[in-house]
Amino acid sequence: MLWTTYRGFLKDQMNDSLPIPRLDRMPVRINPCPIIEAIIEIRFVSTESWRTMPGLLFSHIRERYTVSRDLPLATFPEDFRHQNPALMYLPLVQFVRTNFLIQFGPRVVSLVTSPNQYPGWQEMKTEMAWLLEQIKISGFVSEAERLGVRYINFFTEDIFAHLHLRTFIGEKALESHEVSISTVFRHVPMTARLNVSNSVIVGGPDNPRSGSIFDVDVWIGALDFELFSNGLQRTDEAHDFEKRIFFGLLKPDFLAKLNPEYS
Amino acid sequence: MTTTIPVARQGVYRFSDDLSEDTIPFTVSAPNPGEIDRENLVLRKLGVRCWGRLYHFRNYYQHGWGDGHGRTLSPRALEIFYRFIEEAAFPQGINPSLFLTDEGHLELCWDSQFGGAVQVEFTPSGAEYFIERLGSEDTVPFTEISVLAKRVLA
Repeated sequence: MLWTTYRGFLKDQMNDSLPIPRLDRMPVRINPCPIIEAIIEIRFVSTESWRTMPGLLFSHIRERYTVSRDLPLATFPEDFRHQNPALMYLPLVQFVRTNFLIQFGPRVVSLVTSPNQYPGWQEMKTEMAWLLEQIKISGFVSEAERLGVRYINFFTEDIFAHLHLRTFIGEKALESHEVSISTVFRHVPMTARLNVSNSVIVGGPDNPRSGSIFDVDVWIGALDFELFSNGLQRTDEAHDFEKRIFFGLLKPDFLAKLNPEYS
Repeated sequence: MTTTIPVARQGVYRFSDDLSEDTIPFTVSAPNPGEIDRENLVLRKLGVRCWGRLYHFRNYYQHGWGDGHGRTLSPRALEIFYRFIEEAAFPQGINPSLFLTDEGHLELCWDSQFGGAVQVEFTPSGAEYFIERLGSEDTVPFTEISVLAKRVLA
């Protein structure tokens, strides 16, 4: 364990800063699966210009990802994009295959499951291991900046009724209102951003559905992983932490209704 | 006064109209999630000028800045810089200056209260320092950054 990590670990334990119940065991599957999208994201810096990067990657992944398409942001001039920090980590190109997408931009590459087709963590990890190998061969990553795992879950009902998470005004709980909560948890070496909202629309114009999202993004900073040596192992840890947050916040009776399966 | 950031890509969900905020006031700048403590740290220890310079280095200095060869700020060097700042106790009246090197490293310089300049360059693996008064320079790994913070300010 790195010195910095160990020090942070001790600080974290002493403060017991994670206010989420820890389950004795966590399900490996629930049914119906609420995951509408899962993402493993790598942020990086490169000495390559963006013009050459899509070609470098595509030449190594084209056997699996046969379709490539520009995303809307790609039509904006480069100078404009550089002047907007909010756009820095957004992808410009998408490569597509059955079940998965690869989203690629000047500072980010991510593996994304096709909407509502989460294939399970093992399959996702296997695909990520392959993608990491191709990224390594492509050689465009000078230095990795952040490694993240994000799960977006959708529920048709008001999810706040089923969570150990509520908002109050004084003593009165906010119920039957449109509510959106964002918060950040630190659990060294990981950081997690949790977004929960009971008023979202998912799906495209053809099949919009309204309901709640439970969106957890867990990431590890630059000093706490080596992309091509322990990157995959770190995604495992981030995935475990994401599950701890998700299942820890669900009320037991609601979890029981989701038909949990344990290994 | 407000501005609207263009929609970059269609996300997998969007908030209901009443919850969504489609304008971002110029007067509000939200730090990246989980980084408010670091923003405060830089503001408190190095002042608003260094904070502003760091903000620009992080957000606007893309690969090729300067004469075309400047590198993007190294994420590892930035992490090490933060850890140094956390440990550093600058005496009152010392006003460090912050630079981005062509290699994408951060360099912090100040005039020591004992005389002479002090320079610390943060690299992806640690830091290199120079203390003019002692004529000493060396390199330390990032695991010893806490020791370095005390050494260069002693």
